[in-house]
Amino acid sequence: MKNNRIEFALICLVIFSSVAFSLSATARNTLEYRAAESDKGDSFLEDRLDLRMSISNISMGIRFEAMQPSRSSALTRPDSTYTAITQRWAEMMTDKFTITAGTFTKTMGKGFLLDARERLEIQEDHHLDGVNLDVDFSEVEIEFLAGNADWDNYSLFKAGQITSNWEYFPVNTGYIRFDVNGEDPLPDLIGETWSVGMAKDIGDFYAELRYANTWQGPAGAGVNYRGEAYYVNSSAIIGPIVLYGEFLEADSFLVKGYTQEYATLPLIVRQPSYTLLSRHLMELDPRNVTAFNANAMIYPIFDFEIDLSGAVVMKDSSDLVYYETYGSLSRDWKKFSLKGIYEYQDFANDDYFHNIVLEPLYYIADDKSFVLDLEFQSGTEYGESFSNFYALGELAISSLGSIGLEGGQLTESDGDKENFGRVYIDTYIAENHKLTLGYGRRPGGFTCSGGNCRYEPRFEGFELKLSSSF
Amino acid sequence: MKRTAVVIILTLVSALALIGGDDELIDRKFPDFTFKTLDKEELVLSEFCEENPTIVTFWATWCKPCVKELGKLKEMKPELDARGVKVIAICEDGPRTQAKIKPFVRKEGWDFIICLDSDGKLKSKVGVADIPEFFILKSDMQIAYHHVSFKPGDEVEYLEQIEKLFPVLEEEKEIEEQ
Repeated sequence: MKNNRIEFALICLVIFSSVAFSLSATARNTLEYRAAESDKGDSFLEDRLDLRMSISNISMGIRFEAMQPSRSSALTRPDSTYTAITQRWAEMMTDKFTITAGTFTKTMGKGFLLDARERLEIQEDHHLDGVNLDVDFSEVEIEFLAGNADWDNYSLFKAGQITSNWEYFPVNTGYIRFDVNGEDPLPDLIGETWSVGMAKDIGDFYAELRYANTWQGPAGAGVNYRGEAYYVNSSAIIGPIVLYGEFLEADSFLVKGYTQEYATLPLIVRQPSYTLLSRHLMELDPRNVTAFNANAMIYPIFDFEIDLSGAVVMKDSSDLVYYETYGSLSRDWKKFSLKGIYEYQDFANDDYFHNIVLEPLYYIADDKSFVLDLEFQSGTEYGESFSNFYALGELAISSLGSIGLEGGQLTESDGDKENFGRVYIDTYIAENHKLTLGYGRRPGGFTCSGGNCRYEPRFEGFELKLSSSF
Repeated sequence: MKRTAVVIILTLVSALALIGGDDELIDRKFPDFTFKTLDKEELVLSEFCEENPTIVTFWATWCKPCVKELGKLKEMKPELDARGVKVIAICEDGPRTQAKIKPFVRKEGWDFIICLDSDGKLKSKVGVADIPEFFILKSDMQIAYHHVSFKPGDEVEYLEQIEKLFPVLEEEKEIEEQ
C-alpha cells in the first residue's frame, strides 16, 4: 500500500511536469495478426505497445499488450487468462540519484540475490512493481528496493546492495528479505538471502568469486531450510586461445522457476543457439548440484575460429545427471562463410541428443546475401528414439528486406512425425514500419528467438506482422 | 465488450503508427546517460559524443545477428578510425550469461567500448525493444541514422551513412598522402 502511494505520487509529479514543460515521446508498436485456415485452429490478434515520454531528467512510460483470443501464460499466472496487460513506470534521474517507481526489472548480486528480467513479451512477466532508489557515488553505489513480484502477485521484496567500484576492493554485497502478501503464508515463501562477491582483472587473467547464503521458513516453525551457493569463474588469454571455466556448488539455494522465483544461478550449460533444440528444451534443476564447465575459444588459427567446450552437472556431489560436449568450427572467406556445430548432450535418465548444425552464408553482392541454416537432431527423449530436422533458406537484400523459406520434420511425443513449412517476406514499407507477411504451418512448442523463449501454439495459415516506431 | 475494446485499441494504435512516413527518431536527441565500461571506466555519453562521432549498438552474446553486426563493424575499423568514429556496444546479457561477456569479447577481438546493461536500464531508457538496434550519433547527440535488426549486407548502408556524415580526419588524409 505504502509502495503504491509513493508510486502514485511520483507518477503525478511526472504528469504535472509533462504538462507544464515541453515533452518528448517515442513509441514502438508491434501488431501481429494470424488468420488460421478453417478447422486448423484459432486466429490470433496481438498488439504490443511501448510508449515512453521524457522531459529533462524525468521520464515515464507504459507498456501495453493485448491479445485475442484471451489466453493464459504457460510460465506465469497459469490459472488466469487475460486479454490485455498494462504496465506503467516513472523515473527521476540526477547525476547521483535515480528513483524508479512502477513496473521495472532489477538484478542484484549478479542474480544471486534478485533477478527480475525484462522479457520481450510481458505475458511472461518477470517484472517487479515497486520503488527502487539508486545512489551512485562513482566509487561506491548503494541501492534500495521495495517491491511486489509481478509474476505471482504475492511475493514481496525488500532488498539492498552496496557495490564498491574501487579498483583495489571491487566487492558487491547485498541482502534481500522476501515475504508474502497473505495471512497464512506457506513456510517456504518467507526467507532471506545475503551474498558477497568479488571480481578482479589482472592483465589477461580474470577471476570472479561469489557466495550466497539463504534461509527460508518462519522462525520457530520447525520447517526452516538453509542453503548455500558458491560460484567461481575465471578466464585467461594465452596467445590466440581464450580459456574460460566456471564452477558452481549449490545445495538448497532457492532459484528462479522453483519454489520461489526471485534469484537465479549462473548458467553452467550452454544455451541453445539453434532452432531445433529449443523445441525440446530440457531444464536442469540447479538445486543440490555441483557443476563445472571448461571452454576454449581459439581465434584464429589458419583463419579458422574454433570453439570447444564441455560441462558436467552432478547431483548430491556425486551422481552424474548431465554432461555435454560442444565443438564448432567457422571460417570466413571473401564472399562466403561457413560454420559447423556438433553437440552431444547426455542426461542421466539415458536420454541423449546428437545435434549437428551447418550454416553457410554467401554474399551475392555487397548488399545481397543468401544464408542457409541446416539442422539435424537424433537421440532419445523420455526413452523414445527421435530424429528431427530443420532447414531455412533466406535471401536478404539490404535496402529491401528478405524472403525466406523454412521447413522441417519433428518427432512428436507419441512417435508421429509432423511436417511443417512456411514462406515469408520481410520488408520496410517506410523507414519506420517493418512488415512481415507469411504463410504456412508452424509447429507448436517452446521456441526461443533472440534470447526470449515462449510457448507458440501450433498454427497453419496466413500471418501479418507490422512493427513501427513513431 | 472486452473483445471490441481490444480491437478498437489495436486499430487506433496501428493507424497512429502509420501516420508518420520517415523514421521519427532521426534528428531526435539521444538520451544521455553515464555508463561503466567492461574495464570499469566511467563515461558520460554526451561528453564522449562531443569528442567523437559515436555509434551506439545494443547486443548480447546469445544474439546471432548482433554478433554478426559487431563482426562487420570490426571489419570497418579502418574506415571508422579514419573518421574518428567510436563504437559503444551495450551488452544486454543477464546474470546467467554475464560471466561469458569478457572472454567472448576477447575471442572476437573487438576493440569497442563495451558497456554492461544487465538490468536493462539503458535499453529501457533508449526505448529499445528488439536487439540488435543501431544508432549513429552526431556530436550534439542527435540521432543521424537508426537501424533495427541486422541482415548480412546492412553493413554497406552503415558505411554509406558513416562516409556521408563524417569526413576523413585531416591527419588521416596526410598519412594517406604520404
